[in-house]
Amino acid sequence: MEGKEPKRIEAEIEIRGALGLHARPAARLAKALKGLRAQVRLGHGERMVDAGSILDVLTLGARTGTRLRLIAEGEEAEEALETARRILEAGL
Amino acid sequence: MKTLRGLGVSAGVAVGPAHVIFPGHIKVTRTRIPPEEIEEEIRRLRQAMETTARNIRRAQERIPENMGEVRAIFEAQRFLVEDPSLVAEASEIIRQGFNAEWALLKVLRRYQKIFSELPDAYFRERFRDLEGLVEMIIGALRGEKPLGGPERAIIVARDLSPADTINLRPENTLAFVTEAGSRTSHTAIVARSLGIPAVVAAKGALEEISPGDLLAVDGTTGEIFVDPDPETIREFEQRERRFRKLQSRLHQVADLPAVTRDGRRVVLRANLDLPEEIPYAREYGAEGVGLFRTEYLYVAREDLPPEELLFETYRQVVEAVAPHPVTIRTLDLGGDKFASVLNLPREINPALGLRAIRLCLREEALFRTQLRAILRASAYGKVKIMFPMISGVTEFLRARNLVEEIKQELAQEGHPFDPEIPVGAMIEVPSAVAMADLLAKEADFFSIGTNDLIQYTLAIDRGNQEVSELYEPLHPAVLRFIWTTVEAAHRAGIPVAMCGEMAGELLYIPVLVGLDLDELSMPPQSIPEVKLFIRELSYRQCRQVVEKLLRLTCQDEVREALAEVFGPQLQRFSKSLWFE
Repeated sequence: MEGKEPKRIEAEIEIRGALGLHARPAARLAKALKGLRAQVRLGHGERMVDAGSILDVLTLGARTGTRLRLIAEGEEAEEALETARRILEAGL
Repeated sequence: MKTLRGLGVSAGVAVGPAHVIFPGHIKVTRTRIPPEEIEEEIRRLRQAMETTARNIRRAQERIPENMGEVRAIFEAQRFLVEDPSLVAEASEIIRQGFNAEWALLKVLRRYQKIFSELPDAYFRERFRDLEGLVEMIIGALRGEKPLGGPERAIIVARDLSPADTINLRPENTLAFVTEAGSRTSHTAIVARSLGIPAVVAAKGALEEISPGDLLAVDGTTGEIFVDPDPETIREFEQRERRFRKLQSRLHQVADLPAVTRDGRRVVLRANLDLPEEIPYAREYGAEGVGLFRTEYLYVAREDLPPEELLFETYRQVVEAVAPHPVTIRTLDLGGDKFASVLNLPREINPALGLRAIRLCLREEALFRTQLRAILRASAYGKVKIMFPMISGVTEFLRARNLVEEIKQELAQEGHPFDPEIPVGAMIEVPSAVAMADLLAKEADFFSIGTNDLIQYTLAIDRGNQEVSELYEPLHPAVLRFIWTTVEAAHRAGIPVAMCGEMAGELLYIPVLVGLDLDELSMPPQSIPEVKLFIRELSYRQCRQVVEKLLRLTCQDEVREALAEVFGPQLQRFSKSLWFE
């Protein structure tokens, strides 16, 4: 086998910051993931959305304290997951 | 000539033709697109989205950089216009053979359903951002012309949405007149940031004004003249000159103290609703904020604002105004605003019902949250708290004790705050005037709210056209009540401020100076004029006139006596502003 194996990693994070996962962090998240070779999805209950879409992330309605599932797939999955975790756990 | 009245929310005057925008909803028709034109239709959608993104950026650039709040109005739309899901889903529907407008509407409806099911009000309301954006894109698809038309005009509308303002050409907009709105509505914020005169809450504007009518609009007084006569137009030319003159002298005037010829000092402060107004307050020379209204964060959302949001907002104001003080008025709303959240019954007579401090003392959790936020903000500058609609000593002490409890709570939690924070009572209810001597022993300061004090003293509902003419700030009863309040305060050694509309009107200034008020708080744009006028006055003369006024029988006598003494001086003063 040659080349990098496409990776799939998962994590669970908790939303911090008084206002929850609102428009500004959602925008920051989408922007930060744009350049990375990875697909990141966010899950809350039954729903699973593309972390690159602010609109869809907002439909999760994730307020402070919500626990979300993070799934990253692709060559730079690890980096993408860390980026997402940093932004989501920083809050505001 | 017809006269309309609204709320002046952005200073300046304008005379020009009306451009009327009639209220409409997003209406689109469904058209079938043949397979060979589908790619072209998708290109059309992408192009419209790019145009919209460009318009948003341009609208944001027009707004000065220090006005973060205003720029933030378009922030959500700017984020969403580049959202991959929006374009992907709309393109998918176009591929099924439909036009771009219809596709956008379908996507909007789908998200409406998802958002409406969210439990949290903040997230539910984000649908409005998407709706506003889709409205802009559909406008771009139709190639709609920017507002304001080819000629310079005064925009008249029910209310302006972000979508309307984005298409606006400021260089062609002489003024705004809207039927709906308040000091904190979108129109008001945008108008102030662009320096365009605006009057909102102008009842009947869409009925009384037809497209092309000549209008004369004063964004300071809130007056609108439809089809003005030549005399009014001439007067507006003078108002305009006076306004420009003052604008050009703002910097010279801002640093001067408000002191009478014989040395009596009066502190002039600003009334504000939003942190974004602070730059104006500074520019106009306010020595701090005498009334920071806190209702905005409560009415702008469906649920109650969290402590962190309140704290951050107050801290921002306090830090920006330091070293000057900020007097924060606790929530002054009626129960009707929270009927759904707090499960309160409807009231027949809300002006005399569960509102202001009464509501806060009854809904203690809501009040505690706000007091915690105010106290925490007091660590970052100089803050004073005042309670609205205080009717007596017991009520004031209940509120004050709550402040003490929260101080202990915060100290235990390790939050910093100002332990010496002054706590004052607003004097707006006649019973508070009657008790002023005893109230002055418990309060650190008084602030007279004239709008309500006049309304309750004369039993006049200003919004009721049958009796609104009887609303009279110069009624001797009102003057006597103000005097009683000031005397009681000064005997107890505490200062008295005034923060109603009366404090910003030139004609009343000699009376207020003579009534010994220590501080006047008003809309920022009124400060330079009031200050220059105070510098022309003699305190001794004001005092003598007031002593006479307090013995007169009716408001007509008061007006006559005032005009006799100060009329010529006021005229000279106004002229000096126009021609100097």
